[in-house]
Amino acid sequence: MTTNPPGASPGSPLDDDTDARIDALARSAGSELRRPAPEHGLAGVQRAMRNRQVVRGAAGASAVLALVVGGFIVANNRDGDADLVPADPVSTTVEPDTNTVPTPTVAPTPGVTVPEPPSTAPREVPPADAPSVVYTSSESVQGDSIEMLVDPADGAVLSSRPVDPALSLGAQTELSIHGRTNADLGDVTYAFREVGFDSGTLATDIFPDVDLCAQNTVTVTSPNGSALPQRAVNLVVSPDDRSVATLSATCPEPGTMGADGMGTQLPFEWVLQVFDAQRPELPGRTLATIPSIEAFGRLTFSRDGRFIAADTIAGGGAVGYRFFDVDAGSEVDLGLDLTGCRAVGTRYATFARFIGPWIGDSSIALDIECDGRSTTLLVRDLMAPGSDFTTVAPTTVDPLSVIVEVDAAGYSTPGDSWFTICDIVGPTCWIGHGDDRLVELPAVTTASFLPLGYSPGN
Amino acid sequence: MDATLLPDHQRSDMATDDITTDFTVPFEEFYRAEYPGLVAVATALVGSPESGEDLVQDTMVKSLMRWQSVQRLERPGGWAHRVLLNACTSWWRRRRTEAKYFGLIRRSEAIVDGPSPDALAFWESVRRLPERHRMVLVLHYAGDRSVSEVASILSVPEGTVRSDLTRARAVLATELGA
Repeated sequence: MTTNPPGASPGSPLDDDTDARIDALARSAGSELRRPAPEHGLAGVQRAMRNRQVVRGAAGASAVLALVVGGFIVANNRDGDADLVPADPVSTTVEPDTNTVPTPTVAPTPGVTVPEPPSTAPREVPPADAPSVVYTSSESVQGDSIEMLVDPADGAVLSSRPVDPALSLGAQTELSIHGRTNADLGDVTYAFREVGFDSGTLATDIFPDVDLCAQNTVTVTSPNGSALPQRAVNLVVSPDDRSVATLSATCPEPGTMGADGMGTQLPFEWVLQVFDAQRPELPGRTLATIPSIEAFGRLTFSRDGRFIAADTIAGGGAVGYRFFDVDAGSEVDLGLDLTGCRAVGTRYATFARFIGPWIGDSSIALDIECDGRSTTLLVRDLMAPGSDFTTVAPTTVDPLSVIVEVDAAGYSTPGDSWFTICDIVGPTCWIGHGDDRLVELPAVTTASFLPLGYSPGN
Repeated sequence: MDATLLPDHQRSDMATDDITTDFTVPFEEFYRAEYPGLVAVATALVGSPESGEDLVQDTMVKSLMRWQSVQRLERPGGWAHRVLLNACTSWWRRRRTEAKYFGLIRRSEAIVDGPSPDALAFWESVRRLPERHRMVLVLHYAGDRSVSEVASILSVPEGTVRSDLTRARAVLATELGA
């Protein structure tokens, strides 16, 4: 454990004493919660495990029966850590047929949730740009889960199979182009490296990389030099290799903090700059200057390289985005009143993900969560004012329990978006296409246009 | 199972390992070593020591059921923390929904020999933080996990953990009037 508050830096609006007090309070409050393992706790764990093995056995026996009838078994316990007994995904593939929607067979064992069959609504002819399949699960997806592939037009289960984390990761990786921090553009390369923090007492020659503003090292190789800051809290290279943006600050020199180990923390300013990625020797253009109290997360580019989104956590803890127009050199005003709301990205944007709010070339997809109101999905093309598509989640569950996603592969215009909305508490998911009626997927917790199985951190 | 926590040559084992009780001695060590941190994390996140213990118990059962694979991880405790975080998230979401319709969330749990009022107030404030700040703070201070361990558990860079901690403390200072 560290002895000084981790991250103590001018990035915090706190003075040292206050930060140290909060750190001490946190350590004390944490220690009060830690309790030794109960004397007989291990025996209870072993007993519970045996009980669950019995449940597994019952589910396995039912699987044999289910195989005979060509169905599949999903045995899902109360907290989503499911025991799943898949049938052979090849032999049990079910052709989509509105008259023969497969019905999951469920082991009648204690603590097992019975998933409902998918919607049997009359099938419609899917639009030409319809995604071929939506990947769903009735549990909290882990590496050993089963995913059901459903028809987006009517929710019919087409097949089921164990998730493939490698396949899932590969499908998601393609999206990471929005948040590229390292790039090889031929004569010019960009590298962004995380470094540690300055403790305030360590000599610069011992830890030359540390930075008082929590910035990381920017390395540019170029035949004509570089005008980029050598340190930045964020850097992103546009998908079209045209621009590179940095969010950086002029910080006190490393190793110059006060003798108390943390020094005096002074407010400073973040500067958002954009540079010509092919000619990094040219001076950058400043898009915004932002007080340090407004903390920023990732920077992401729209696919066409025209816009930048900056995750922002304002002083009050609100979460949202600020958008900047690279060509115009100014901030984009969305014209939305988001008072009392969180405007976050969709499934692959939240919490350690990488896509930002982007969809298509220059469109944004925002999950807008406002107190006391249902989650709203907004899709807008920033290059086509007035193009908004909005839809309200058909659930009154807490917005934090709602996850939305827009199909990136088939996206063309906001009004033609394919999307999923999942109420993970219900649980129920819906598949939607523009203003068409929603296809309901009862007892489904996850519905994605990408294969399931890889989930970094959440 | 997040495959990134598992050495390459062992990743395929996770789905096929038999459940066994042949590892009770190392599991017991794991149990006794990890329990204090896990129960603190769960209590901090859900606000109820009793529910926290239930969630840790459940996490331990899952760990034992997969022990043959889990024990080979570089950080079995990190895996357990991930399982627990997911369980806490699910628990909280269920409670929110129950509260919405049935008013079941009690403002305070009856606690005997539990944390002090100051600690309870602190963690109450923590639970109002944005998700990642909350997770980072709880893992670091309640779970007593180092910055690098928190980064590994949440699959984010260490620098992100440090900056999250800084920002979370700043919000808490305002919230708590420090």
